[in-house]
Amino acid sequence: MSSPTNAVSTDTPRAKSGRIRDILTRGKGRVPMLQLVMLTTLIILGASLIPGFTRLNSVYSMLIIASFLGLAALGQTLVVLLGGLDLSVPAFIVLSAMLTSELYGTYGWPFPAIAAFIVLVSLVVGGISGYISHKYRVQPLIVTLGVGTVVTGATLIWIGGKQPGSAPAFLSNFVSPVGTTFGLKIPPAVVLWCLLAVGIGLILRHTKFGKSLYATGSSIRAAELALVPTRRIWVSAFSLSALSAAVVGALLAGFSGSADLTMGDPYLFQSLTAVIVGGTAFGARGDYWHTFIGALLLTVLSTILIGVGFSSSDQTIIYGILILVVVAGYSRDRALRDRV
Amino acid sequence: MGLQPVSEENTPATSVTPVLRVEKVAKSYGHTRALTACDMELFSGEILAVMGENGSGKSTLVKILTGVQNLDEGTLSMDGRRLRPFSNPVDGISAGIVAVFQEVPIIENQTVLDNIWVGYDGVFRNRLRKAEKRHIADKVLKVLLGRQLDLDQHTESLSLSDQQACCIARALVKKPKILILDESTSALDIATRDRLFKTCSELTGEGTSIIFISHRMDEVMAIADRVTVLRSGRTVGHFTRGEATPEVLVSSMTGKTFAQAEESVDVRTPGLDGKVQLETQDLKLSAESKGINFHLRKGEVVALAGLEGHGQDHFLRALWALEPVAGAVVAYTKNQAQKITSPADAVRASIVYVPRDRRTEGIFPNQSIGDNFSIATMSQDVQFGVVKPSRSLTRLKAFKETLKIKMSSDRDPITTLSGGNQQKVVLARWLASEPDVVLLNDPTRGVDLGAKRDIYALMRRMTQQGVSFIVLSTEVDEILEIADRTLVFRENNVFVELDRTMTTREKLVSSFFGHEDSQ
Repeated sequence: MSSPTNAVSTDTPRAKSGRIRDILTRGKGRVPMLQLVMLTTLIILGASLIPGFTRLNSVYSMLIIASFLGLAALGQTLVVLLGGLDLSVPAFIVLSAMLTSELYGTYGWPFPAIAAFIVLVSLVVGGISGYISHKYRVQPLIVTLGVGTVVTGATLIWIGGKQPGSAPAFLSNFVSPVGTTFGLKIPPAVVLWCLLAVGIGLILRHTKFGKSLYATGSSIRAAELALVPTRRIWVSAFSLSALSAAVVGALLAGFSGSADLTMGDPYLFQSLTAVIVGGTAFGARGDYWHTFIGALLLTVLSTILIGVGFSSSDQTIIYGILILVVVAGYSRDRALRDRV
Repeated sequence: MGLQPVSEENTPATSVTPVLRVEKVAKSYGHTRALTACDMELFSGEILAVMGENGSGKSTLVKILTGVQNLDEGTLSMDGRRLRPFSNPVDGISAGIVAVFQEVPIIENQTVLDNIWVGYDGVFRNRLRKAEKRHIADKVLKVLLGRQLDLDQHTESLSLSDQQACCIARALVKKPKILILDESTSALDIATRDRLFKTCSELTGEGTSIIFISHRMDEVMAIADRVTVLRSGRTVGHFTRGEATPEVLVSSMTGKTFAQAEESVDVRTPGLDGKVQLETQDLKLSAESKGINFHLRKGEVVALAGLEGHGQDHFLRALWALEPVAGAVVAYTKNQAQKITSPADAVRASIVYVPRDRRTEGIFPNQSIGDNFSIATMSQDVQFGVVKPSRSLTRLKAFKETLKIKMSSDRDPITTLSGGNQQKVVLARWLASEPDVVLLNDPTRGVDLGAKRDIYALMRRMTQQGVSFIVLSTEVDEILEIADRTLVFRENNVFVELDRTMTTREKLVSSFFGHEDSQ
């Protein structure tokens, strides 16, 4: 720290370099530089290692896989910003996939009715997690584990071991690499993901809800004393987390034609990894755009790993190392920023 | 009270070497000098009281003696031998120094017996047989409480007084050479306290020395053989039993040199039209408290004072409905009576509260200065659902000028600011809502002098516009400077109400200690 007199005497030259440094440090908070560099490196690496990596079809395939992951990590991002973890993501994925295929294939509900039902159920049940965690000050980790188990159990009882029906055909187009959006040759799932990313990103930065969410995540006591409706914020974040998982569930049902009880499992660890690798952390740092990059990064990485012939257990190890690298880089970054 | 004076043979002979000698001990926390030069001698079998205002360095001294903190300078010696500085609490205990603190650190979900013997055994080794532990614990508790206590019940079911007795017992079973009682009587009921004092004189008869720290003059008068007074981190006086009258102690604690603080008195406007803005009706801070009927008038600055933990914090928070209390808080700010039952009510009545602990209750770390500032007034900036930062920036700029907030961009994280500037932003957060009544909970704690001036200047300007303030302050100088009226709290009651013209440093401090008429 420089003394005040010092700062005054060197005002002009300092101001200039200070401004540049300002832009850099401010950029660091908003733009995940480290992650973008890693992503670019990985893409170059993939293009040189794997034949056909840059073909439009494989790019779309990767983007679709990334959109599943990214959407599953959307709500997770909000929950992490509040300082919690949502372990019920897989449960809502499975519930929604089951509802989509069973209600459509076996009971013959029209899809809009199914969609409305799924939205309602996930918002309400997800909200319950948020309410309980906030009201009784319980670790969301535990509450969502409990709620997730109940949801999974209920799904199991309802399905009762039989093969669920099949998902509507248009959902398959929605998530197909050759699917089209209003005539454009872009898979609708990718369009949906990008729109949501922009939307959520703007909501977080520029609305009262977003600012209140950051305040609550940063210091819940200070937020309460500033009359931020913290419970409403918690309920909304967990509702949205369940909803985003449910969206992934419906898309996955379209992707595989039906549903099974384990299809949500990989998304717990991966959604968290996408959030953390993206650079969002407890204490309200980061945003959904970080997670967006994180999801892309993970998908490209796993595509390369599979392409080069790594097993899934090797992949897990590499994910773990990736988390450590990013977290280490992040804490360095924080120390730097505090010093500047 | 009601205690016989300590017997004659406890008075120490002056020629013997002291059990404990503290020489020129200094300790700083960052830039804050908690102790600058502390000297003290403790003789075998005596009770030495250490007194001083809040922030005089008593707690730091205790922390050094018990090994919780390292000293920066100075020496400690026991029985004439110089001690290696303690590096952790275990060193203190093995040297025979054991302390009991004001807070009651019982371990819940554990029995009374386990609580008393906690930390005595090793991890795998029992140093005493259980039956023996029971026997000793029983004996000590019987002496302290005058009755048997079930050793197998869980401590959380005990009364606060009994819990504190357990903590004292925890110290006593270690058979300390030097026992430090740091405000540890505040949680005890009178009967237990008297028994503790009796136990103390018995212990001193066996050669134990006791350092007794208390804010209660009557207790000090009752049991201390000698008194050492600290002021702003220095030892300023030693008094024997005969010399230590309340008047002498108070003037020693406050320091004569500060008596001319009167000069800095500035022009004050004692209320523009005297309209009542806020009142409490029979507000009770505890079941035994008397009801408080308090009125706050327009443009007035009322200070809440007293020793830490005597109800002033509770009172201030109750005004914003943050604490459950009996009685009512009524606001008249909007030209009609409105009961305050929640913080939202208070804000609707244009009453705002700036919390005490900036780090945990004030700032949003990692968030920008702008977001930290605008959080309470954001609704003004919303247009078509979008928060327009330009509007809050205009408001922030106004405060940046009046409060002289030193910052470069409102988009920098708040943590890049100094403590004083962070506090200014937190203050500005609520002042920006153009309140009629502002409740400030120790607004200048840990804030440097320049920043204090800026804050006082803004307060003065606002009172001229008819804004009223209630300020909890732990600093006597601050109260003397800003308050039109001061409520001194003692044991959850308003002990005395002092008008500006009547307020002197001596009067204030002696009323903290429960004396209404010094001078």
